[in-house]
Amino acid sequence: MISLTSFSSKLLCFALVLWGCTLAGCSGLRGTPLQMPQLVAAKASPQPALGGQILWQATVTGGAPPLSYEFRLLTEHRLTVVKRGPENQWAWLPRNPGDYQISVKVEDAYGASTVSPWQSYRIEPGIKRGSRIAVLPIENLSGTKAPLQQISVAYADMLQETGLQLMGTEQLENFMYRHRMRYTGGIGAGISAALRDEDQVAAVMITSLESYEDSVPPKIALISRLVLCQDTPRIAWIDGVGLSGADHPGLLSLGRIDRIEELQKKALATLRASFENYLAGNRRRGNRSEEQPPRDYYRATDFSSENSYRLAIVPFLNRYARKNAGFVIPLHLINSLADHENLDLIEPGLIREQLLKYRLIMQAGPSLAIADALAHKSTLNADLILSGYVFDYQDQSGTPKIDFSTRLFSGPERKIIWWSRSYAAGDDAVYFFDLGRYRSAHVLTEDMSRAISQLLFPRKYYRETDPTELNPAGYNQH
Amino acid sequence: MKRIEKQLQWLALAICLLSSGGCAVNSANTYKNSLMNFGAVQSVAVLPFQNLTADDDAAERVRDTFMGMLLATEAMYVLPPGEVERGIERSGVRTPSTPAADKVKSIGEILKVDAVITGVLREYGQVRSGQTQANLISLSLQMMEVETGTIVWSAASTKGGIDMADRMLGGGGEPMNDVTKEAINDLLDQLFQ
Repeated sequence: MISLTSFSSKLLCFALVLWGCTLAGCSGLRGTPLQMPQLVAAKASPQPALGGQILWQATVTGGAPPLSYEFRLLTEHRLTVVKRGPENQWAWLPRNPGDYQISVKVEDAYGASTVSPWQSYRIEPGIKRGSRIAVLPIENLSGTKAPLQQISVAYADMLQETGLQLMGTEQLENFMYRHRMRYTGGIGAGISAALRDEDQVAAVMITSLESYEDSVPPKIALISRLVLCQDTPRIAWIDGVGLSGADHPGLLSLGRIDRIEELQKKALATLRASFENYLAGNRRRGNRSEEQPPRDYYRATDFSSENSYRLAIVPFLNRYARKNAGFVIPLHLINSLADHENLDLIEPGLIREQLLKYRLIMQAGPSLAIADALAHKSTLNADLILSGYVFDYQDQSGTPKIDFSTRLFSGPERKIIWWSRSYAAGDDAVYFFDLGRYRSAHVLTEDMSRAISQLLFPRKYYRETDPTELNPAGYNQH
Repeated sequence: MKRIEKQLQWLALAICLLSSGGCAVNSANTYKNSLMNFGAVQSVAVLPFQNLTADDDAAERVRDTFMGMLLATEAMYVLPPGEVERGIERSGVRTPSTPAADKVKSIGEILKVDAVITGVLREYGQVRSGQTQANLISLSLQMMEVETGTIVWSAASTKGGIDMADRMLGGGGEPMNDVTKEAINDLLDQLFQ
């Protein structure tokens, strides 16, 4: 009897211990429920664009480890996943001014997730009105003779009207003479630092003349960018304009522009308006036309666009296209990729500097050795290297015709993750009178480049409705 | 009797020739080494194509499209052209479009690829017949295994040209880039069939 009681009590104890262990085990495995994360920025809003990294730290309690963090950036209804991984920190280098909202989604080992409320953050332009900038002489990529001096002066006058303080022409010439600076299509790290330290220049305006034709109808195309003079020069603003005198002929051709001077003024005014918009702290807006998707493309299945990348666009190889076409296409690609929040586009002048420094000659595009050199931390630290061939670039009289291919090389993986072939003529989509005709090669190339950028880094629009999230401002009106 | 026998022999020979000719119709453009395991080819280097046309940049255009489309199949990794150029330079091949077997081995070892593809662009551009014109491409490719330097696959394709619709309706045929894509698709079909 005693032994039986002892046995039953032992059994009871064992059952209790087992139940307790099970409970403890479950709680150990599942942990406490995942709480809503707290997201804190190291710097208070607002901050200037490209003014330094802003560290965001997420703090969360509960959840079964390991936790996974997804930092999300929302601007103008466009959602970008900027970082995903086990780290609870994200160093943000904002590139474009505007109103942003930031949130973090935390997921535990069992797939339970929670999202922090959206936090508003304002980014101001990289330079302010009154800042001192240098306007470099215009780089001629048009392959023809053009009145560069006249365009440069007209553009500088327009920029001065925006309230910027321009570095004097004589002073700039002295600087260029002192530093033996002949290339005006970009700036390297040395020139950038020298301009900042010696002449207190905050930024440099670099402009390339893409097309110029003074016959009737005239044509002009320009791409301009503002590069901040930091230790590593960075592109703060970029935009382009391509106009033809026959763009809007209107009734009885009354709207036709026959004088290049008039068209030039219109083109410069368009650039100025875009730059004014930037100085006002707004994001770039333009009258975008159709996209011209590549005719063929390959995108590696394991390539994720939901990450932050440092991208180097090297000059394209010119395969019997017109002079300088290999420099024009990269500028268009930079222009179309500049809006992507997760991309750090490397200034072309910096790329040129490194290629010259290490005497890297690319006869047929970057080899693995060159890609390694560009991807190395001591050089450009590029995650991705975009190169390509230009087979045709016809922007003079007649219908524009463009043909080029692109290749994206992943530095760390040492392999090609993207290839595309784009070709189009200005009259490809003309079926009824002149509707749908491209008159400017610039506009056609811009549409082709934008289509590539959308396929490479597709934009996501905010559609998620999560009860734990606060609605971002403006979303409900979309 | 002997005469009938002789006639029968001739008939048999004629049937043999006809049947062998008939069999050859489908595979005249393609050779595939039956002993080769094409699934083992993980990476290839596409060497510059030999250009037999009057258009200087035609071979490079076609090569670029072929490399991209082959890469897009995801069946094998295609080395970037810059890396191929480096391999050619380091191996010291003077005529990369027609490399000798030992040079193929050398390029393969330098680039660490399983196979090398060479090509000959025979026709590229417009052909004209009377008032009608159309675009035409004729391309042949060869794949060489780097271990032995032997040809394991060879194929050719000709696309475009003037057809009945062009003669009747005019129009100039398909664009050159589209014809090129058709020919390359045909070649890729022959490679992966």
